[in-house]
Amino acid sequence: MEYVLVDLYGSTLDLFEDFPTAREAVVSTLRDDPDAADELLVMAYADGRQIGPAIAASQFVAPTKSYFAQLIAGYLINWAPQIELGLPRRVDPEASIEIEWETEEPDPDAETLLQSRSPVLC
Amino acid sequence: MLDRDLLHKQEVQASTALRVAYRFVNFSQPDDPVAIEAFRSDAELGKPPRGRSLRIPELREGLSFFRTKELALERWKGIAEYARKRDPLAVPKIGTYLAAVQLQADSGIFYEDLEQQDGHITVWGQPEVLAAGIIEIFSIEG
Repeated sequence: MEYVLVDLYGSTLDLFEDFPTAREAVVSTLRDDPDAADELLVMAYADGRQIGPAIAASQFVAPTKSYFAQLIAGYLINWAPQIELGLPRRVDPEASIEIEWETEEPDPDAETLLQSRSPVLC
Repeated sequence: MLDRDLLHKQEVQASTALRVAYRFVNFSQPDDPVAIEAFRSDAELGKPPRGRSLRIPELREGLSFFRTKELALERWKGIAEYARKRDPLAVPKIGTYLAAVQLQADSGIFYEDLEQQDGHITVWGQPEVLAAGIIEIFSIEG
């Protein structure tokens, strides 16, 4: 299994041979560059085939209190939460979201392996 | 496997096997005025270095391409579906077109192919030269 750090523009940024290293690389990137949260994914590859996203950088960030304050203000002023982008967020390495497989027919073995290593919910 | 902590940049020459590569773009016609802009590097655009380009700054002056159309489309599908799942109304940043670009020999075009499974390669060249090399643009249906 290979883990490829990609951005949402389609570029490959780095490559890792195991899930923990890929995960740490994402968290490390976010610590220096929180804006990357909306732009980075780790794709899993096996036998020359893209299995699907294994990690989304967005799973490691959580809204700050000011996020909620601005969100409420947005509702009060505009009746719509249209101010989400660009708000401060905090990096939370323990945060966890299980990424749904994007391929129609994921490799069962690869999926099991990833789920056993990747943290929680959907 | 090539050492990813080193740069493996080589010039496209007459003997180079790789002569056509694929890049995501946001326009459908090769003569579109914005075509050249699609071939500006992260360094030119002022984007921050991420991943391997933190270790090898010269990568920021290159552009992401794919060896084959099929591998590019596979990447597109994974990213576009993920982006749409997060926000169904969002326009995927990856764009909806794929340009096949001829890498002309002896035109100051360089490339690095780490033979990765995802088919990704890095290409260096003048934006005008790369844009002039577009031989076909495919609309990606998702």
